[in-house]
Amino acid sequence: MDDLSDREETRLKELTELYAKYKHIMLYADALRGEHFAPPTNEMKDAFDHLMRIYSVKFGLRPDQNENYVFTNIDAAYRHIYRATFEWLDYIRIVQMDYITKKLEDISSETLSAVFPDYFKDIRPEISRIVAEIPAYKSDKDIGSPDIAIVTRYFESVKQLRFHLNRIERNIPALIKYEEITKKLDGISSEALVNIFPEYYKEILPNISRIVAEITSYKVDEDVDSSDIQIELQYSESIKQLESYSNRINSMIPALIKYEGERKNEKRHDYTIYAIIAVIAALVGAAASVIISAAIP
Amino acid sequence: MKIKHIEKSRIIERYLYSLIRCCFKLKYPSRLCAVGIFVWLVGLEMAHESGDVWDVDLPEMKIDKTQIKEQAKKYRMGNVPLGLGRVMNRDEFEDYKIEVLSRRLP
Repeated sequence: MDDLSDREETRLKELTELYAKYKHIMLYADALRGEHFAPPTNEMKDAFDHLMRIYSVKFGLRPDQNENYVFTNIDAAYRHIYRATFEWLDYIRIVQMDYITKKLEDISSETLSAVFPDYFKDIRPEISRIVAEIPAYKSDKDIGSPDIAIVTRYFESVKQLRFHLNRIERNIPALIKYEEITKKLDGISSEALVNIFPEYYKEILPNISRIVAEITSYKVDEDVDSSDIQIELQYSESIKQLESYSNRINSMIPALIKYEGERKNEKRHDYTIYAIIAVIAALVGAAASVIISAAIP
Repeated sequence: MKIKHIEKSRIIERYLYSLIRCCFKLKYPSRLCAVGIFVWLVGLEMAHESGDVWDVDLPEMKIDKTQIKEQAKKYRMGNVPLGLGRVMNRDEFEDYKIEVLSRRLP
């Protein structure tokens, strides 16, 4: 680094630090959707070109450049990497949003609040906050004064979104199972459950509530790459239990539907009797009034 | 622009090389012509060497998915997503972004 001035060396150090961030972000983003995102690559190509211009001077290929030439090109390379980093961060945020909305589109709000109360408590507001921050970050992405602090802040937001995504991903099996159970029992009265399937209130419902409480109590580590094997086993055990209860409910569904049908028929029969009684009562009343009016002169 | 000038001169060179080949197929005076053109071309090459292309900005990457897929087959490209044409350019990303941001969270 003897050939570089202090100013050039400082900028080159900043560039290297920024590139370390860029590389981390790029490797994560690249694995998200298994596709290539072209705009950052374009920026990197230009950054490389500026670095080569510096080498052309340093290796004496073009000795007649002015003293600002090297610094100007280091700075230009920095700006290109800065833009490339922002391109990736923007891409990651949108892909994450896409993933979250697609994963949760078939899950009802009732299931979410029962199984995954944290979603409404802190995840949803946090996602909305990060999405609302986009215009602010976009306006901060001023290439006139690139600031690594803004990249760090944006990166932290994206990391936070990644953590929430991991929590959602973790709860998806439980959410799907719970949704299945509630959909199966949709339209079945509590009377039918008490008479035909008494174990539901005695055993199954309390157990489902217990399992759901267990699932919501499992904490997801901030570091998404590390996972506790014990917690993982407990979690898969809970899901298995939920599935076995779902199967038991499933086996009782035909009997419950039959009972519901019979009950509706009985009710219809009851209404017919009430209607006949009402007509008879009206006729008797009319006859009585005619007799009374004839008897009284 | 300098870069446009270089592109033009490359096209001229290609025509000149074809001309040299034609001239050599003919008799003595044409061959002399060919040698003359060859010397001119060497001069042109030297002009390129001395021309400063270092400060010319690189052109933006143009992505043609159909071409990528064809070339992936032809050259047995190792990168599978790229070979399948799974590339997103800026316009596609902007459309995708609008679509995702218009969705509502449950």
